[in-house]
Order: sequence, then C-alpha cells, then structure tokens
Amino acid sequence: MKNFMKLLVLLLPLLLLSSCFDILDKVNVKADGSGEYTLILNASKSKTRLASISKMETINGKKVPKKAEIENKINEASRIFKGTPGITNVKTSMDFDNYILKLSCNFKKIENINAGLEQLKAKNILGKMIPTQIYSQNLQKKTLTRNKVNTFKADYDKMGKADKEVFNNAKYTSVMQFENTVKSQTNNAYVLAPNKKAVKLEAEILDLIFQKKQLQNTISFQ
Amino acid sequence: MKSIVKKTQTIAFILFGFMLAFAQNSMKIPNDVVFYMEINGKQLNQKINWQKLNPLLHELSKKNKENSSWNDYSKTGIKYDATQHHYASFNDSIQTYTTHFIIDNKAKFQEFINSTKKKGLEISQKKNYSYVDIDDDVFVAWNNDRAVLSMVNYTKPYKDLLTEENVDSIAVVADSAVAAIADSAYVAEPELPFDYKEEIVMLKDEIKYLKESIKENNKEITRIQKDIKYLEKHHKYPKENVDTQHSEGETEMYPQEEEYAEAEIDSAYQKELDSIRREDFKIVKKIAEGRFDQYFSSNLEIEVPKAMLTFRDPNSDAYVYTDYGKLMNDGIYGKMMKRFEFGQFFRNAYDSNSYYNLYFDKDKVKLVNNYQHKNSETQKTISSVYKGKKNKKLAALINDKSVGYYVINVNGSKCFDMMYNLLQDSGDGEYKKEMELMMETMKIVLDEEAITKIAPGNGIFVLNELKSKQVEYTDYEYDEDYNEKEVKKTKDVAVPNFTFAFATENEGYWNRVFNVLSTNKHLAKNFSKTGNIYSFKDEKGDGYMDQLYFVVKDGIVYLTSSTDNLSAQSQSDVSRQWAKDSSKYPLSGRLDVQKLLIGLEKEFKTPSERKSLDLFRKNVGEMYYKTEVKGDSVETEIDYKIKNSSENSLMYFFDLFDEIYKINEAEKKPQIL
Repeated sequence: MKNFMKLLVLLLPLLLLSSCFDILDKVNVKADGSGEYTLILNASKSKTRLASISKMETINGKKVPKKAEIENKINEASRIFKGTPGITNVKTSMDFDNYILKLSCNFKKIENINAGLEQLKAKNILGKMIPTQIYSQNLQKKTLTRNKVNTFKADYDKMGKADKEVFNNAKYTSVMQFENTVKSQTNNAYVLAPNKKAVKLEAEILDLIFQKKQLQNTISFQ
Repeated sequence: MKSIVKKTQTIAFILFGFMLAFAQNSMKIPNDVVFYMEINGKQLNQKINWQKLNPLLHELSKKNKENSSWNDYSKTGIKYDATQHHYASFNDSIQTYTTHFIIDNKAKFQEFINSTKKKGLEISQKKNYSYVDIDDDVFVAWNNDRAVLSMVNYTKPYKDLLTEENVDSIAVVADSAVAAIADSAYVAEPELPFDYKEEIVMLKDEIKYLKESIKENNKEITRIQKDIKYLEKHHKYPKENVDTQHSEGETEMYPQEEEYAEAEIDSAYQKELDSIRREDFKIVKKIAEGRFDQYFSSNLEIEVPKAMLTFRDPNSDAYVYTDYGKLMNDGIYGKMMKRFEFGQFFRNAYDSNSYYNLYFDKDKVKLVNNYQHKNSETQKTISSVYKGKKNKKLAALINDKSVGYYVINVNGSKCFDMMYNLLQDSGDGEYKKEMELMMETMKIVLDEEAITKIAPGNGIFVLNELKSKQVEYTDYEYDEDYNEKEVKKTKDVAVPNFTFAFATENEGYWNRVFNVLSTNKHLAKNFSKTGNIYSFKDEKGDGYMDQLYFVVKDGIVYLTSSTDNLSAQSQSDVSRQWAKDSSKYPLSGRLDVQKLLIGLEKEFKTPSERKSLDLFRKNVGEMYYKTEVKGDSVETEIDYKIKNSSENSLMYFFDLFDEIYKINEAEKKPQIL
C-alpha cells in the first residue's frame, strides 16, 4: 500500500481523469524469512485516456510527467533499493504502451523492505506522511505481521474533486505467499488459498482510505 | 392685496429654501464598486414556486442550524416583488457586500431575523434603525420599510511580502549604507509596525504543526520502549498480542505532565485567537454601523451611477455590472502583474467593464453579456475583429449527426491592429521607447497580409457523434495458489468523430506543409498521401484518434477523423437552422448534451454512474452561444434550453438541485446504518 502511494504521488497527474488503475502488492516469503517482493501498478484499463493525457503539458493544473521523468524516478528508487542492506536483485519494468510499471526485489528478511522504504523517504522520493514500517516477522514465533497503517483519509479529504476521482473504482490487491503452511490469521478479509500457503486481499482503494477494509493481519504458521 | 401676494411668495420661497436645505440626499452607490446587481423582484417573484422552494430551504437550513423554526420563506416580511440592490467593493484589507431591500411587514421581518441570529444576541437600537449581527461578519439593519444586509470581511492590511523579503535579504548581507537605501525605497509603502499578536498566531501555528509529528514519533517510541521493557524482563517477546503495533485499546504511554503542558498551550492559544477575533469583529462592526448610519440618514432611495446601468434591460430578471478591470488589476493578480516589466500590456487588456442581463424564460435560461473596453479606441479595434466575412462552405459541415459545433468568423487581419493598440498603450513610463521600437520591428517582421491569407479568420469545429471503439488492455488474474497471470481483455471506449476546418486564401501554402510532412523521412512513416487526402496514422492505435485526415479543397483546409465527413451530409430542418446560425455570427456554438450522452453511455458503468446518467438524461438540455458586435460593445448570448417538466427555467434549477440532494441523502443513509 505504501509503495503504491509512492508511485501514485509520481503518477498522480498522469492518472487524473482516468478512473481505473489497479495495484498489486505481493510478497513471497520462504521458511528462512527471505523472499521476493513485487509491486505492480496497472493503469492499462485507462490506457486510451492516458495516451491522450500523456500528450498534454498539464492537466487539472498539474504538470503531466514525461516518460523520461517517470523512468528517472523509478530508476532512482531502484538505485536506492539496491543500496539497502539485505535487498538484492532489484528489477524494474516500465511498459508505457500498456501503462504497467513493475518493481521487484529479493530480501533477506522482510524488514529490509521497510528499511528500503525508509531510505526512499530520507531521499525525498516518498512523502513525509507515508509510514514505512509495513511488515514485521518473528521467525521464532512463526508469525508474519502486516502492520496497521494510518488512514489517508485526512490527505484524501484535502484533495480537490478532480484528484479524488482518480480513486474511483481503483483496486488494490495484496498477495502474500509462503513456504510454510498458514495456521491462522487475524484478518479474515484475506482469503486463504486451498494449499494454505497464500493469502489474498482484494479491495477498492476507497474502502481502504475510509477504513471499511483493514490491511493489518498477523499470520501464524504451523 | 399685492403685499399679501408678495408675502405669500416670500414665505413660499423661504419654505422651499428650507426644504432644499434640509432635504435628505439619496443613497449613492459608490463609483468604485466592482460589482453591482439589481434583482427584478416584480418579475422574479412570479416565477418562484414557494410551495416547492419552502421544503428545500427548510431542509437546507436544518443542516446549518440545529433548531430551524422557519417554515415559510415566502413570508419573511421581505417584499419579494420589489427591486433589490446588491453591490460589492474591496481594497487591501476590507471586502464588503451590501444588499438593500424593502420590507412590507416589519414585525414578521423581526421575527425572521430573531430565528436566524445567534441565541442571546441583543438587537441594537439606533436613532433611526435597529440592527443585529447574524454572524461574525454579517449584519442586518432595518427601519419600518427598508432593510440592509452588510457582509464585511476584514483582514490585516496587505503586506508586500516580496518587497519585504528583498529588504530583509539585503539587510542580512548589507552594511548600514545599503540598509539605508532599502529603507528609503520603502518609504513609498510605509512599513507596518511589528505586530506581536500576528507573530504569536504564526508561531502557534508552527507549534501545532510540530506537535503533529511529535505525536506520530511518540507513538512509535512508546511501542519500542514497551518492547524493550518486556525484553529486559522476559528475554523474549510476549506470547500473546505479538502485534504490538495494534495500538487500539492500548493505554497510551504519554507522560502525564506533558499532556497538561499541551492542554495549557492549547488554551492559551485559543484565548489569544479569541482576542484577535474580538478585535477584528470590533473593526467589522464599526464599518457596518458606518454604512447603516449613512443609509438610514439618507432619503432611503438608491442612486446608481449611470455608467453602471448602461446595458440594463428592464425586462431582465437580474442585471449585473462588473468592473473587470478593477477586479483583475486591483486584486492580487494586478499586484503580481505590477512586478513584471511588461505587465501593463495585460493591465490594458483587462481594463474593461462587463454587463449581464439574466432571463429565466419558460423554456430557457438566457444570459446576455455586454463587454466594453474602457478605452473607446481599443474597443473599436476589438469590435473590428468581430466583423469577419461569412463562409457557407464551413456551415455545410453541420449535419443531422452533429452533436455540436463551434464557429469563428472573425477578421484575422484586425487581430494585429488590436494587438498593436494594446501594446501602444502599454508603454507609458520608462518603457515607452522600447515598446515603440518593438512594435515597429514586429510590423516589419510580420507580413500581416500574407499571414491573413493563410487563415483569414473563418473556422469551424463540428462534433459528429461519438463512436464506439474496442480497445485491448492488460489485467491480472490469479490461479489457486495466488500466482498472478497477465491476461488480455477488451473494452469499449467512446471516441469522437469530428471535423475541424478553416478557410484559407493560400491553398498552396497548406499543400506544401502537408507535402513536407508526408515526404519527410522521419515523419513519413506516420504521414501518407492517397489522392488529395493526407493522412496521419497513430502506430499504436491506443489513443482516441487512430487516424486523422487532412485535405485542402476549394479554399478550405479540413482536418477530420473520418473522410465520410468531407462528403455532403443530409441536413434536416434543425441542422439546416444550426448551419444558418453558424455563418451568421462572428462566434457561435451549440451543444446538444442529450445526443452527447448517447455516445457516452458506455462510459457509465457502475450503478451510481448509471444513476447519474439517468439524472442527466432526464434533465440536461441544449447549450447555445453567440457573440456579435452590438453598438459599442461586444455582446455574447448564452442560452440553456431546459428539459424537464419544471414550470420555468428558474424552478428547473431548484427541481434539479432537489433531485440531486435527495439522491445524495439516499446514498448517505445506508452508511449511517
């Protein structure tokens, strides 16, 4: 969710007037606590509108970012992630035909992602308001926690009407896959996979902003 | 007998003289108001359906005040069928809006005022009127048959922040000599004394901001401290409630004394803020009282400067005058422009008055605007631009499928005269010579005649229906282990079918432009020529325009999304009338929103969007717009034809508002449950 906010701040002007974008936020955690993290911003559904907007200089009073500017920002974020201890194999892909941006990396322990985000914040790529302590894992206790984060409602309320429309029908999917088998979880909004090695939460972004759905979850393993 | 006549004459003269001496003057509306509005109550009152309006007003007032006691707004003691006068003025620190109206039932009016004012507020009695503040900045005064409502907003006198910054930065680095220069430069705008109260408010705001981040960090520190304490004691994390970050229900570990300190600061801050508010209120009240004294000591007749009534139509429902020049040039924008060396150009361009007549007819709302530049010479050159030739070939592009159009028939060559005229008057003061030289150079460089031949000033944009186009997009689906997989899906989007065309007297020039585009090695992959049609193809085809066609034919340059638009299309009576109108005026446009909605239907997908679509369908009408020169002004008429069963166009808006309000309320209800 936080990573998506980062990308969204970058891409907000581009997403204006487009009412459809999806975020996929995925972690794959092995038994030793290491794993892979993937974040996908998919605005493909609105590509006709985005293709037209991208030819404009400004929209709704905001500068429309050029392709090179987006690439620079993503590459900068990638460089910072690469420099974060515990994070390796950072990959980015930017498909400007379909408006899909991907960022993936491997981590030694899931808290490395938090540290990476902290770095982005320190380098002013992430906004001050965005919390960075998203995951915590306790191998000893065999638990993984997706922490509670502050609501963005106050920030959302401050937005103009046109900016708010960006979030209409926007979706957020969180997938967490594990090598270990899940014993229990605290948030049943996450659907457990039949093999009991993955959980998935699908939500409208507005539901998360208004806290109709919660992201926090503590998963215990067998 | 003679002496009696003489005496009578003398007495009559003396009495007449006394009458003249003691006659009260009428209340003159100041010449410097930026806005004046006259409501034609006699007409408007007949168009209002109070039975419909009352419940709506009652509902809305319930939102603002907990105990709204007023049920019938048609009986407030205000004489609705009399003329109302409204005007507004502003300067750096005071903005006022004043309304004068007649009351026909003083007792009822007082009762109404009592229901709207704050509880416990006393009505002040003056020599010839009573008054009360119904809000911090809204005051109402009345006598037996007249009333005045005055809104006054006061802000501390405007500080020239940019200048101040300059002086400050100079002061930091400069010696006393430079500082003295800066001081002397500052004499023109006297420096306001240091206002410690204002400074306190600013600093308190800063504290408030810092506190926010302290709170955030304190929570995190508390959590970690808790973890440390637990680890020190038990050498491991607790078994239950591992998720220490779920702070819901936890007791916050803020030091008690800190909380008290915080509360103390807050209350001191609040007190300070209150005292500033009180002082502001005193100033505002004094201003309002001054205005009331002035009005109630006059003969209560409103005298409006003639210049403001130049274009008033006695048949209109409302008439508005605005001094656009003053609004723009004396406001923040004007102050900004003063900083630019050539800002005078824009100040000249804005220096105009606008007059509006508004009509709520049975089937349409009509707004007529008369624009007049304050400099009659400039006005003449502006008017000359709007005297273009007609072009029937362009009008032929309007057909039965057309959703709307926008046409310009102006005199392109006169645009240069207008620009020179504005530039000429911009050069007063230090840049006069530079401006003259610049204009001379422009005249040499620009061959106005040749430019005008390329595009003499006739153009049209016609929107012919919205077509549906299927586009492919990427989505993600998940297998049962929640591995994502990219899948291709399709959806329909509405794309415009349009033609943009303009007249030219130099076809050769445009043919050469398109020829270069189609033969240039970099552009030729997108640009091609088939017969006399040039086309541009978007390689990806993912935007709204896949292909655009360019044709130069019979003195017209066409740019269209479909070559079908270039051949003659059928014109019914309606579209023929549209076409006729389009060539008649220098600027005109029309949009049939109902037709537009048919094309946009696929864009409305979710239930709430469909609901909005139904509401639009039921209510949205047709827009029409035209501009022409009338006398010594440029007149623009905007018509909006209504579409629903409302008794007239005024009630149409209330009905529409009521419907939207009810939908919103209905949507809110499930959330409360």
